[in-house]
Amino acid sequence: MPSPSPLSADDLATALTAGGSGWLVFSLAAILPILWAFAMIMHFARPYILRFLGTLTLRFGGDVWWLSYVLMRDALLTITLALSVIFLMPNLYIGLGLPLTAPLAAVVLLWAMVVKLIGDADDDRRTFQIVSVLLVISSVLYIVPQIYGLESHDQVDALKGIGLDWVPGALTAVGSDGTVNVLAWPILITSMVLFGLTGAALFVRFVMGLGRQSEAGVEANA
Amino acid sequence: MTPDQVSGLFDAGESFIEGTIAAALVALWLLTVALYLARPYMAANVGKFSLRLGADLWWIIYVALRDILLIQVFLGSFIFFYPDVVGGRDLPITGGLAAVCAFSVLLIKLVTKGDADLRWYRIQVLLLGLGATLYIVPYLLGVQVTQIGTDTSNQLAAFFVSSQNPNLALPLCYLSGAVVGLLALVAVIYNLRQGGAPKIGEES
Repeated sequence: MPSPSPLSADDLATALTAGGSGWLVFSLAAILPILWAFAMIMHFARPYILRFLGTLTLRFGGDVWWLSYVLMRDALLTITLALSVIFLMPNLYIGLGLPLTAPLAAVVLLWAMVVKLIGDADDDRRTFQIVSVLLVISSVLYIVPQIYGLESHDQVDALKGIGLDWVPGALTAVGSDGTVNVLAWPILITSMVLFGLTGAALFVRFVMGLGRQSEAGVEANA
Repeated sequence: MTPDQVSGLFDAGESFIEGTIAAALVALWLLTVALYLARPYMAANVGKFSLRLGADLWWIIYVALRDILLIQVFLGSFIFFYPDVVGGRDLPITGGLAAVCAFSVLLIKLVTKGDADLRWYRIQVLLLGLGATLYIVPYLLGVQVTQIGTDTSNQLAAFFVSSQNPNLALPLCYLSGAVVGLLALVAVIYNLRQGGAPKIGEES
């Protein structure tokens, strides 16, 4: 059997660039469940954090503890959302075959952050519950297809024995045979529209509230 | 370079990262257990500060460091929930079960009074000891003997290394994922019922 011919300089550059970008995206996709888990742990650690806060004897210590917690919790959610935007990019989502419901996870995460922004999830019990439910839905929409879809492609033969060999293909945008999942494009387009509409609504709300906020602030200070 | 070599280059990069995480987890597990065992020393030092500010900061740093390390152990162990990684790489076979132990400790911290409840604190320490054993023993006696080449080392590796014992490693991988999912559900329900705040009277 003849050995494969070496690539030309241009082809090698293209192959390294394409391979490198694919490797980076797959690495981000693999790291995101970890980021999700970290963000969820921080969000749901709230009772523990508050319990410890009650044991601190100085307001300074309490402020340092609470500030560190809120900063880390919110930064993790923001980073997760920022990285999830890659799932709204057709070349990456369809082209590389990323987790099927990952774009929807990005949208629901955005909704959770919008609720945090316009409500008070720290003081209002109802808002906290809404944010929590949205975060759970979003994390499940991402973590399940990532682990049992993208990270299970090599298990198709093993899963065939129990009749579940269709699961990895059904949970990714591109199946094991290279065909695009019939749900991939509808999910991607719906997610892009919802993401755009949510962002636009948030922007309009902010612009409309600019004057009112400053007037309310002046009245409150007077 | 040929196209296969380019692909192999990136596969090697992935393998290197996963191998490094597995190696780092040994140190993380040891550090976490060490910080738990250091509690009497930390508590003794709190009484030596002449300022309450110093004592508070000392205790905050200790608790934050200890808890963050435990969370990092669990997050690093996330690779043990990925079936392709468990089946394809040389990892300790009970790494997923060790992750379950770490997550159980986090859950106990959430739903009990934590350090103040001696019974649950003992259970936390026991779970940490079990988790560290489940991780470090198969790592040292399995993953780290794959290149020795003797009969004994080959037999140890054939049992303790996930890629060499996929018939046990993959069921453990799915089982660990399911148990962590159930424990996470308990944490979510606890939070939703409490509204994100501890029960009244738990603050002290």
